[in-house]
Amino acid sequence: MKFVWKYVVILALLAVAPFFVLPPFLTHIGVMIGIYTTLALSMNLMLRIGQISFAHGAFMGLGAYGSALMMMRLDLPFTVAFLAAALGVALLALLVGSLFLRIRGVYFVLLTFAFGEIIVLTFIEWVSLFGGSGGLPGVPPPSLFGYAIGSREGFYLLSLGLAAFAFALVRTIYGTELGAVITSLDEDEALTRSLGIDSRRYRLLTFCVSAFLAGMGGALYGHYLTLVTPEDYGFWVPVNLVMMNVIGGIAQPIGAVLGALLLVPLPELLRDAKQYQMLLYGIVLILFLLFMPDGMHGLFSKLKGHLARRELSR
Amino acid sequence: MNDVVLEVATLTKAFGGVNAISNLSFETRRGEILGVIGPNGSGKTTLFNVITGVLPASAGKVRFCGEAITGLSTDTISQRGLIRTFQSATVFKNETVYENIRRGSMFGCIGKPSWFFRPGVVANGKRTAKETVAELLEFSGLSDLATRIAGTLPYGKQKMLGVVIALARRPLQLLMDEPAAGLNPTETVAMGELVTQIRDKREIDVVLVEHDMKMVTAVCDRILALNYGKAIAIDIPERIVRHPEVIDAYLGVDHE
Ligand SMILES: Nc1ncnc2c1ncn2[C@@H]1O[C@H](COP(=O)(O)OP(=O)(O)OP(=O)(O)O)[C@@H](O)[C@H]1O
Ligand SMILES: [Mg+2]
Repeated sequence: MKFVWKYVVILALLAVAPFFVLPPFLTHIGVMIGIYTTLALSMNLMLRIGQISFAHGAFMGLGAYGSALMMMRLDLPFTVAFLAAALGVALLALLVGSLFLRIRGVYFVLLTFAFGEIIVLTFIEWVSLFGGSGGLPGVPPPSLFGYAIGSREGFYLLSLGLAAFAFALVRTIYGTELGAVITSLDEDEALTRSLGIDSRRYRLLTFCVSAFLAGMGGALYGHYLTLVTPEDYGFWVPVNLVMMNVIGGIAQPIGAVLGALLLVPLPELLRDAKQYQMLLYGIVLILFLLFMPDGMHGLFSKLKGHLARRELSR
Repeated sequence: MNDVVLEVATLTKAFGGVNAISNLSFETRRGEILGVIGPNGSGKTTLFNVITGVLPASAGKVRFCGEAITGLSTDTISQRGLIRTFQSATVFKNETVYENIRRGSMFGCIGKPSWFFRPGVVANGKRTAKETVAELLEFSGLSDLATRIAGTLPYGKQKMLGVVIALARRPLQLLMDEPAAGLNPTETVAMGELVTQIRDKREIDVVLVEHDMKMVTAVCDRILALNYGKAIAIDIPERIVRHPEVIDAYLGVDHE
């Protein structure tokens, strides 16, 4: 129970922050961090089964277009459109996953990459539905319980709520037998299967849950920007998500949160030096891979251990 | 003939044009430890892979407890009670010994995601797993190492743990692929005793692939000798070690 309270307090502090201390610009970054935390957690699930998915840009985009279109064209309420879009993405993952997940390693990455490109191309070419390369402007704001949420603070709360949901979901998965199965599949698939685990179905389930989270993150992203354009959902999305996990630490869901916290503000802060952004990303990634393979979370754990030992030796 | 457990009938496994298993037929009987010997590359591991559905058979049938299992997936065959161990130490290297055995016991109950929704499955599974781990730690003598990370154990202990994980799964029959390979003489003796106990105390049938002839002849009721994927002979140990073809193909070159 103690750890739950810890999270409740952190969440409450974060929730009231924009109304007291955060300037609007930081509130904006907060929204983006919440969305990317959700997406990075979604990628963390894939990393756990050892299959890096490059379809996640497409999943995010389909969530964004899906939710926007269902509100704009079908006049569905936000909650319905949002959930239906995410469920639709999960359903698509179920379909393509049963084919793709047979393939492992680099080939899976390439396969999902090709899939992602096809989806983005569809966004561009199917102009009557997706609006072409100009995208879909005028995406309506979300509304909850009859209140339209157009303000930055409103989005901040939604985004925080979504990130908290994603974190709780992923943590719960890892904390239960489901997590033991997922970890086992990556550690030793042959052994896991010989113990009676249907690896195909578990991989598929993981892929679907992951796609569901990506769809939700994408949907909120679209509503927040009020504009959904194809180029936002290309292969840089999965690259970023993997980087967030590597930098934060893959071993724990908190690593995805730390990664988003560190990487999301970068492009916003480096707006005037866009050309250096990728360079900086590259350097940061190389440094982490070489010197901190367990990410920031690994570093924190080590520091904690170190301090504890210092305490003892006194 | 209702005491037949595993039935392999005219089984063939081809890799490219080469038959790793060639028209092989044999059966195991209830309560039996069947040894399988043969030179390197004679198809012993392939035989296990095909029986457990890791590799598809090219031709022929496998029946287990009277039911055809050819073409079934590894996990389905495992659910039927036919479990294998691996030639190299195969454990969850990043987990504790305790967790390794616990997973062995637990995974049988949650073979498919939908089984989570069967009432009581997880709770019962956890309760059983707890008892199983305690009992197997005792049985295998790994109690002192329960909290150690499996990957940090000496090789011999990892091989032992590999067998214990499979036992936790509660097999009806255990297919053991060279449990003594890589073990020192003391560990080999202990492994031989473990195999006997698995049959005597736990009433699990065993098919034992092994190069250590001292262990095989001491432990097995009958021995199947393979060469180039074909059966040369299947007989009691005393006659196998005198079989001219077996001596020619295997014992003459490899036996100490
Ligand atoms: N997946 C595979 N693809 C192609 N050839 C294979 C495969 N697995 C095994 N073989 C070949 O099949 C033959 C039998 O190999 P197998 O591993 O079954 O032998 P073994 O009797 O277990 O040998 P050892 O005593 O060395 O463990 C060998 O020639 C091997 O090269
Ligand atoms: Mg072998």
